[in-house]
Amino acid sequence: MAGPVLKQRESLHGRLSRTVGARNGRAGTATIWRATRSFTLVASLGIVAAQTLVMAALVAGDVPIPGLYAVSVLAVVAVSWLLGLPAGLIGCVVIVAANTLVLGVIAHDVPVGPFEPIRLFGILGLLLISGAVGQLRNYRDRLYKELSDRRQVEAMLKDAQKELVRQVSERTEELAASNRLLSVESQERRRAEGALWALAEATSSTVGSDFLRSLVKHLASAFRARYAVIVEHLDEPVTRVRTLAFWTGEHLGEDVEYEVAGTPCEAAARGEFVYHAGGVQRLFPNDSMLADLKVESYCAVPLSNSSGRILGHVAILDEKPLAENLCQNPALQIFAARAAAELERRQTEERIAQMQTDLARAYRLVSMGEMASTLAHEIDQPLGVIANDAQACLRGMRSGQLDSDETLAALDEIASEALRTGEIVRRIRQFVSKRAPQRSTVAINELVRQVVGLVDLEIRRRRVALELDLEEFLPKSHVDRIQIQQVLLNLIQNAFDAMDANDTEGRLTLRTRSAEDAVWVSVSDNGKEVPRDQMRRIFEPYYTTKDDGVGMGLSISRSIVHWHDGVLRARARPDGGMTFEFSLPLQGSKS
Amino acid sequence: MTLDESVVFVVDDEPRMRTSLALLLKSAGYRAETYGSAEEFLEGYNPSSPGCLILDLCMEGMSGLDLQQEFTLRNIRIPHIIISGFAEVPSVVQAMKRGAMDVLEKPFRDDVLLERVREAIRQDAETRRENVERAEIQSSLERLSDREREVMRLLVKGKHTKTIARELGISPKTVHAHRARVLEKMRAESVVELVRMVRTLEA
Repeated sequence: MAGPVLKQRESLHGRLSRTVGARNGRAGTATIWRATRSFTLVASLGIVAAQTLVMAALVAGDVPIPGLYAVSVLAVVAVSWLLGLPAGLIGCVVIVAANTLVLGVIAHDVPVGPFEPIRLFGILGLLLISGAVGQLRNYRDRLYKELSDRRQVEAMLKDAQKELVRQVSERTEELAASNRLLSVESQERRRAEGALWALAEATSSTVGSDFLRSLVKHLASAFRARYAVIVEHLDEPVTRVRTLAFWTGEHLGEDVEYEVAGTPCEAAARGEFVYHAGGVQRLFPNDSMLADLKVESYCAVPLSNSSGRILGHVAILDEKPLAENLCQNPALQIFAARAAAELERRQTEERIAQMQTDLARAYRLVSMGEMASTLAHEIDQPLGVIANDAQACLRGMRSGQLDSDETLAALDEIASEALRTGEIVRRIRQFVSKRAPQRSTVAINELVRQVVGLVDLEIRRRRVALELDLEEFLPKSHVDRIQIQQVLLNLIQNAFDAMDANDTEGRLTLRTRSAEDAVWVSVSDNGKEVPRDQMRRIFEPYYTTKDDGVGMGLSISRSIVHWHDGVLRARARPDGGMTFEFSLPLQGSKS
Repeated sequence: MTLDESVVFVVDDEPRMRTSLALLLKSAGYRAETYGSAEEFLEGYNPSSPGCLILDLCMEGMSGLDLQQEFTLRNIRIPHIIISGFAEVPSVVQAMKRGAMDVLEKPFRDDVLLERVREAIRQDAETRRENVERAEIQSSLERLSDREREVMRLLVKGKHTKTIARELGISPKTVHAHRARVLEKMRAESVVELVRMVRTLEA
């Protein structure tokens, strides 16, 4: 826009400088001329006035001739100057004629002859003067013209300047307006960038469920939508899904499970990019959730794992129409990829946890198998009592050898022994049951005593001296009872094996102690020590020093303790034997 | 009847098992005496009292097998039945070798146990009767003169009077008189009974 104005300004400047440049040499003359012009005017007026006075004096009778000539010359000069060369020449003629007329006719006394040399000389002089003056005038006129030209140019220049100033100010105004617009845009941009940064920042350091929750919250904020949700597909082909994180605008919503049929998620579940800019409730009239949440627009990006399987999707929903198709938004795609990785990681983790649970159970079965005879005895004992008592009752009633008190006592015994048997069977079944690990509040001392109950017979059979050193008022712990029993059982059986290898009388010590934020349980024996170079390897899977060992006991025990956020470690005792100890976090020390 | 005087001793370190066994025995009309350990039993047991023993194989302290060994050392010949929670084959073989009547696994049928108990008591009574008889024979034997003992030794070998007379260098008539006195002193009806007595003695 500035172009034409500037160009015009440039051309004006060009003309101006050319004009000025041409006149630069005559600048002095022009100044003199300007000074003499006003003087000349005054002089001309004087001439006319003097001529008039001379005329009047002539008429009165007393006229000095030279004065008349002088007046004539002045009159010619004045006329030539004021009216130009032709007028000057005419003036000359008129003055000569007038002079001749005045001198000859009115004064009478002057001999007048037209060709009188002096007169001729005078006329010629007048003409010359007139010519010179006329020439001067022409010159003056040219100068005037130049001056006016210059003034015109200057005026034009001034106009152009004004125009320029106007245009500049107009443009400035425009620029200011566009600046204002830009600053609003950049503010908006900064805000969006800020939201993206917040999104990136908030999600960079978190993993697991925290990541997904953080992600939905910041996704909603970054895309200025009310809702954002990450959904995991539960079956294949997908019919049911479960939300893993759901931002409702103000807070995280309860995670829900629902059928995808008739919802916008159905297409997303098939792995499609879904975008409904508005009117989504009309498109899916049967989806009550959309109506409940007053959802107007919907946009979803599928989440697939590294092998391309669709694991879930991330959806952004709003109560107003969405301004852009967010599916195409690179930021959303980046975060979708990150969420997909997270989902894959979760599933892998779940699978690993499942495998570990299965492995632990398999190992429990193995150790149960090893303990089978002991356990069988545990059951046989009460069964034997029951059988004896029942048979005694029958026999006694038939033979009358038992009185009713004895019979009643025996029946009582039968009932309690049967319950005891049931309890043992239940404990075994629980121990080998296939179940997800479950934490509950457990008194560790009681748990230790239960395990001692399981190995009691084994202890007696092996003639091992058992020392229970359990700290009184031990704080409760938040653990999976079965798994910790398994760890303890493993360690005790290891101790048995180590003591078998030694000939000395076995001593087994079970100890519980509380520390600042954990309960420590230790199993000490006076059996064979683990050689120093094997210490590090004993926790490795399939590493065993026993002839018939599987090499899984300590490995599984350690993973169980790790799962409980504890540590399992081994050390040789100064007076021979080993101590294995593990820590369990106190109840409430871990959420 | 033997039932009146015979006692069934029960040695088991499991109190409930002890009580229930005692009750079962009582219901079958036996008198039961219970002990919590092998040591206690050895202390309280009077070998002269007739009866049998129900012995738990696996016990704290002295085990069933240990007690059997102690029986051999102390020459105690009480018929015993071993009961066990988990009877591993080597222990069972060992127990049988050491003179157990039977090894029963818990839980067991009452009639099987009681049958064994009856058998054991019968055996015990038999042994005791044999012992008595042996003592009687022994004392009778001590009343015989040297010559009579000589005659008896040849008689139980199934030799005829004439052969004996020739071997001992005496007359058959004298042999005959000795034979009558031997039979009388030994309170035997016939030479056949005399043979049985000697066999009893030698058993």
